[in-house]
Amino acid sequence: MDVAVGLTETGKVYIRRSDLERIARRIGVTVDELAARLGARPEQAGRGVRYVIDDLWGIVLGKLVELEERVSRLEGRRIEEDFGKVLDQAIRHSAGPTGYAPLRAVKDFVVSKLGISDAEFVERLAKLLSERRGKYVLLEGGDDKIYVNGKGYGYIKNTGM
Amino acid sequence: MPCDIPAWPVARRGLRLVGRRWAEALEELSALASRYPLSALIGRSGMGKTQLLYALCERIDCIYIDATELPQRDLAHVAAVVAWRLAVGSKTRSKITDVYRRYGFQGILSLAQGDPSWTLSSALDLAQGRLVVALDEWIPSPEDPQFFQAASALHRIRNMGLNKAGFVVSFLPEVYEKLASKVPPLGNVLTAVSVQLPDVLAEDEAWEIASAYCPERAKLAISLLRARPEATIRELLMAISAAKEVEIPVE
Repeated sequence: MDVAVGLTETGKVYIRRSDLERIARRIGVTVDELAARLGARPEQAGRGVRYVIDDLWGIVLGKLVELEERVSRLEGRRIEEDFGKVLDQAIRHSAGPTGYAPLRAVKDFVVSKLGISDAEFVERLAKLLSERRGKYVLLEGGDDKIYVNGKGYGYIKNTGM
Repeated sequence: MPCDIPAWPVARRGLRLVGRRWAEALEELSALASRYPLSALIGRSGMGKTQLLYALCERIDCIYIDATELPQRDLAHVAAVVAWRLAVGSKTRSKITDVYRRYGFQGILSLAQGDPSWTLSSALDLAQGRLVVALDEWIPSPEDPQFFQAASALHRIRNMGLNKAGFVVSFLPEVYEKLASKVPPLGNVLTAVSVQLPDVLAEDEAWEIASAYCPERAKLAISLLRARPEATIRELLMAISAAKEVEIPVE
């Protein structure tokens, strides 16, 4: 699709109205909606109308940042879904004869598998514990403790509830 | 039935042991104690270990030792306590009874500090038949400064292979885990002769336990357990004893 994009006398980018109409039709929105999304304002140019985009780079960079945030939100959701599974896997690998696993070993497994920070592990564990009450039992004893919700815990067990 | 919920729910002698899985644990522990020189009872704090040891001692010839009373948790002190308890009622003439009659407990302790294994073995000769020694609170936490000293005493009991006594030792799961990883020769043996109490209560068990103290509060116990499924028996009893009398709907 040929789109005539030019620069105004003051160096701002503009698009001809007919071109903007074609693009709007193609993506299924009205010209006004598209112009609003691009931050473009109509301006008389001879006998026709053109849309001037006052801050093109601001819009492009803004969209990139928005996309980045959406991707990281989606990845976050995936980590959250995986967190429980990887935690159970880590408990299985580290559990001793009583079924309890040292929380430090569990944390090391989970953070290396999911590529999250120690702080993120604690936050996600605290969230999981409040969402799935009774599924996990934590013991306060242990030489090496991890602090969750203000208490130091040394061991964790999946009760299977 | 009147409500008699203990406001301070710690184990008490003479209470009936409630809960199917606790009854099964008692059966299993009795069998292990009657057969092996050493066995373990594992359970979270507040899940009934001491109550189960009391129930065990009501059922078989037993010496219950709460190790929080001992200044040192080593073989010498266990041997001295066992020797002293057996010497008190013994009519038999032996080095142990002689020392007890002359010097009392301190004499027996001196003897045990000199040779703990000999004192323990000689003391057990005074028992009429097989004796069970229930050691409670032997290692109260994994961070206990006497952890390795206390573990060494158990290691020595394991090595003595006593045939006249069965030592039953209660452990928190975290203590047992540390013991198994730091002293593998002991952990390996104990794993084969251990009974583990449930980590969480089932609703029917919570109902049964609460009903034993106060049937009117059984519904409340279920509601509390649904809100906190990881609650221990002690926490549940404390909560129902503290709660005001309200009607709780339970489907």
